[in-house]
Amino acid sequence: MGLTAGCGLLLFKRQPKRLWLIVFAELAMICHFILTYVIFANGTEAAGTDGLIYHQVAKDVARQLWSGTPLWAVKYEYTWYTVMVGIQYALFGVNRFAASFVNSFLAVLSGYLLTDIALKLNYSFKKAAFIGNVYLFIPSMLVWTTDTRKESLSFFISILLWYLALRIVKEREWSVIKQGLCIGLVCVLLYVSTLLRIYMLFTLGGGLLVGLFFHYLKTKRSVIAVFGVTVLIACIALTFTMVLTNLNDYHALPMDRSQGGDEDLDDELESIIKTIIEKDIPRAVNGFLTRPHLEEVDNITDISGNYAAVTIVRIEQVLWYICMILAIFGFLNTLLEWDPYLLGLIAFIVSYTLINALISENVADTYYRYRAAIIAPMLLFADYRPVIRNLKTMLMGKS
Amino acid sequence: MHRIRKIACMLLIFLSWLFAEVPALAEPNLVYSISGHDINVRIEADGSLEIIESIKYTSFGGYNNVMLFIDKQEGETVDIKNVYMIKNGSYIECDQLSAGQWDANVFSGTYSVIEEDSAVRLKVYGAFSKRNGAIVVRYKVHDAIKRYGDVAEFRRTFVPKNWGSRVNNINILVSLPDYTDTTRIRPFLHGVLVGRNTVEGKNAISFNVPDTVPGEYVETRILFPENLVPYARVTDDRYHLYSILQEEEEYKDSSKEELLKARENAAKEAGRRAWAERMNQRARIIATFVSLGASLLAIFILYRIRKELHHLMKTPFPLDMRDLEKLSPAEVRRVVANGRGRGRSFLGSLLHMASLGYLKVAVAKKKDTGSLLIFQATDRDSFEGLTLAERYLLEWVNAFKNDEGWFEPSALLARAGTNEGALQLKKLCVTWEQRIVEDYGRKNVLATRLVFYRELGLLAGGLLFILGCIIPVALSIWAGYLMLPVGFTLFLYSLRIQKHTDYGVKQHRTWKELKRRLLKRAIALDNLPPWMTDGLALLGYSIVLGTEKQLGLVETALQKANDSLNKTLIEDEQEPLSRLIKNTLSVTDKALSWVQDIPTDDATYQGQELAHG
Repeated sequence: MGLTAGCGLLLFKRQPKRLWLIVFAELAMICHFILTYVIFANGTEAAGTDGLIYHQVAKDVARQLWSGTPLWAVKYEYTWYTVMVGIQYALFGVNRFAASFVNSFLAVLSGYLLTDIALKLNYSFKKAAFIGNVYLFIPSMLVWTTDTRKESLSFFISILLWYLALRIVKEREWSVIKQGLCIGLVCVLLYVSTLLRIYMLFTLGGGLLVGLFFHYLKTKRSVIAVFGVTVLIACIALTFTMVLTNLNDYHALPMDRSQGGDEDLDDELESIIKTIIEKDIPRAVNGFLTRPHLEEVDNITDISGNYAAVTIVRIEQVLWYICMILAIFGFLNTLLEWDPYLLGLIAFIVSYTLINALISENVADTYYRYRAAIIAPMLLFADYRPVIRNLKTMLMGKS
Repeated sequence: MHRIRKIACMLLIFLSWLFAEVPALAEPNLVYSISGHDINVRIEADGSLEIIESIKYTSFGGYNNVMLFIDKQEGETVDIKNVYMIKNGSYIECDQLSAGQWDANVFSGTYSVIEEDSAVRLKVYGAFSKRNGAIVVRYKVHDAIKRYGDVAEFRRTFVPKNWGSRVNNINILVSLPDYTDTTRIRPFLHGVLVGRNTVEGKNAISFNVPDTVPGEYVETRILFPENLVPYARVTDDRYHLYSILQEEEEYKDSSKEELLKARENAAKEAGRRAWAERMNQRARIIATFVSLGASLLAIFILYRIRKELHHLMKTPFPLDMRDLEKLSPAEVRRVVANGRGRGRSFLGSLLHMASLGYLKVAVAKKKDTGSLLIFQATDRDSFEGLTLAERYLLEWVNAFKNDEGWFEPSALLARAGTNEGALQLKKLCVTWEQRIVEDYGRKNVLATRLVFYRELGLLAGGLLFILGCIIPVALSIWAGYLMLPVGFTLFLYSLRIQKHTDYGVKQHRTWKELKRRLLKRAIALDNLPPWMTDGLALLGYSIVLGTEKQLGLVETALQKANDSLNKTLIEDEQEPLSRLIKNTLSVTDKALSWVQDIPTDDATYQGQELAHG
C-alpha cells in the first residue's frame, strides 16, 4: 500500500488534487485485499478456475527453479504468466495470497496510468480521476485482477504500452536516446503481451500502427515515422517467430482444444477460418459486447445463487451499456477531430472486439472476462460533451 | 437547459434499456438447463452410499465448465471416485486438478472439488460442444445413513433449492443393501409438486420427477429397517420412526406455497420467453426494415441537399480574371485545399500583408535551414484591407519578434520543439483557423433553406450514426451496420455544406482554374485582378495555390515594382527565390504541422489572446 501511495505521488506530483486520487487508490487496494481473503476463504488450493490452474503450474515452475533448472529451460503450461508467478514463488515462497496482492498492485498502477493518459489527452483532472476510479472500482475489474489470473498483468501491459506510446508522441523535449529506449520498451511490451495472449500482437500492434500512421500524416514528425517503422518491423518479426510457431499449441483456440491440439499450422489456420465462417458475426459481436445479458447473469456458475454477486454484475452490465452508448459520442468526436492517438485506440477496440467475437467461445462468462481488456480504452471515450462542444464551435464559426 | 438534460437522461435510459433488454430477447433459448438427470444410489451395509450421477445438458451455445452440487450433511464425507465427460461422441475420464497433475490439458476434461459446509461443488472443465454436453460422476458418501434404534434413514437432496435453472427427467434409483419386506420400506419425496416414488421390489426404490423449476428441489427420504445396515455407525439408539412419520404428515399437510409460487414463476417465465421469442423475431424484422429505410432516407436527404446545392451551371471561365472576388490567401487555401497545408496559408498571408505595407520583408541567412524570409511589422496603425485572421496574424508576428524586432519563421520551429511552446503554438493556430473560418463564413453565408438542410442533415446523420452503432449490436442484424457509414457521410457532408454552396463551388472552380493557368503559364499579369498584381501579393497567392514552382509571373511582377527588396529576391544567384520560398515554407509547414497532434479543447482556446504569447 505504501508503494501504491508512492507511485501515485510520483506520477501526479504536479496535480494539486492528487491526494483524493491516492486515497481512492488505497481504498481500491483494500477492496482487493478483502476480496482476496473472500475468494480464498476455503483455501488457496481449491478456489477459482484459471487462477487455480496458473497457481498450480507456477508451483511446478518454482519447483523446477529450486531444482536448478535455468529460467530459459523451465517448462510451463498455458501461458508465460505462470513463469512470472513461478519466479515469485521461487524467490519468496509459494503463497497465492502474495501473487494475488501483486496483481492488485498492478491493477491499481493501471488505474494510475489510465488517469495519466486522460490527463495527457487534456481531460480535466476531475474527469481523468473519475475514469481512473471507475477502472479501479468496477466489480469485474476487481474480481479479474485479484486472483492469480493473467488479466491484471495483461491489462497493465496493454495500458502501459498505450501510455508509453502517448508519451513518445507527445514529449518533444526527450533526447533521442530516451525516445529510442521507450520505442524499444514498447516493442518488448508487444512481445510480452503476445506471450500472454497470442492475438494481442495484432490488436495492440494494429492499433498502434493505425494511430502512428495518422499521426505521421498529420504532423510529419520524423520520430513518429521511426516509431511506426519499428513497430511494424517488430510486428512482422513476432508474427513469424512467435505467433505462427505457437499457434498450434495455443490453448484458447476452440477448434484446437476440441480436436486435441494435434493439428499442423495449415489445419489450425483452416480451422480458425472455419470457426469464423460458421459464426453469425452480428450475433457474435452482440455476445462479446453485451453478454452476460441481465437474465443470464445468474447462470454464471461461479456466482450462481449468490444474490449479492448477481446483483452487482447486473448493475455493472447496465453501467457498461451506458458507457458504450456514451462512447459512441466519443467515437464521433474522434472521427470529427481526426485525433490520431484516439483513432489508434478505436482501431484497438474494434480489432480486439472482432477477434474475440469471432474466435472466442460463445460463453457469457468468457466474454465477460475477455471484454474487461477494452473497458479502460472505452472509458476514455465515454463522454458526450466534447462532440456537442465541437459541433457548436464548428457551426458558430460557419453560420 | 434542464429540459435538454431531462431529454438526454430519458434517451440514455431508453438506449441502455435497448442494450439491456433486447439482447435478452435476442437469444432466449440460451438458457442453462439439464435435459436428463439419472441417479443410481446403492446403500452399503456400513451406511455409506455409492452414487453414480449421469447428467445431460441441453445446449446454450457451447460452454467450458459445468457445476454439480453434491449434498453433504453433517458428519458425512464425500469421496469423488471418477468423473467422465462426453467428448467427440464418447466418454472420457477427467483428471482431478491438483498439484502434480498439470501435464493434462485442462479443457480436455478435468475437474476440481470445492468443499463447502453443506455441499461439495464439483466443477468439470471441458469444451462442451452444442447440444450434447454430458457428464457422469461416481462418488461415495461415507456415514450417510442415520441409524436409529428402530429404523434407518436415507435422506439426500439431489437438486438443490437454489439451482437457477430447469432440470428435466430426474430418475433416481436407490438400492438397499439387502432384501426386506416392502411394507417396511417407506419412501418420501420432497420439494416438488409433481413426482412419484415407487417401491420397485424388496430392495429398490425409484423416484421420478418430470421436471423441476427454479425454487423447487428434489429431496429423497427413505425409512427402512435398521438391521439392513448392520455395520453403520449408530446415530441415536432411541426410536425415531414415530417422529419422522409425524414430520412427513406435517409436510404432506403443508400448503406448499413456495412450490406453487415457484411453478407460477416458472410458468410466467416460460410465457415471457415465448413472448420474448416472438417479439425478438418481430423486432429483428422491423429493425432490418427500419435500418434499410433509414439508410435510404439518409441517402435521399443527401441527394436532396446535393440537388439543392448543385444547380450552378458550369459556365465557361473568362479569359481574364480581373473581376475575381478578393479572398485572403488563407481563405483561398481553405477553398482549394480545405485548410490543409497550414504553412502555406501562414506564409501566403504574411506576404499578402507585406504587399499591403503592414510588414517589411527581408532575407536572413541561416546555417541549418538555409536562407529564410523574415518579417517585421511596420508602424502602420489602421487595419484597412486586412481580414480578422490577418489582424490576428499581425499580432502574432509582433508577439514572436526577436530582439531586433524581426519575426523569423524558424522561431516557430523552436517553439514547436518544446512541450510548452508547442501547446502555445497550437492554441494560436486554433484561434487563427477559427478566424479564417469566420472570415470566409461571412462571405459564404448559408441561405435559410440551406441552414434547414444542414440542420436536418446533421440531426439525421448523427442519429443514424448512433443507431448504426446500437441497433446492429443490440439486435444482431447485418442491415443495421449500413446506417453507420451512411449516417457518418450525411453528418460530414452537412457539416461541410458551405463547401458545396453556389458561392463555395464557384470559388473552388475559379481558384482551381487560376491555379491551372498559373502552372501552365497561361495567364498574363494584366489579366489578374489589380489586388494580386503586386509581386509579394502574387507570391503569397502562388504559395497558397501551390504554384510556387512556376515563378515567372511573380518575378515579372517583382521586377515591375523595382524596389531594393524585390531585386534582392530576384537577383540573388546563391539563393534563388524558389529556394528561398522552399526553405521558408518547409520551416513554417513543419512547425505548424508538428503541433497538430495536440488535443484541442475549445473551452481553453476560445478567444485565445496573444498576451499569453
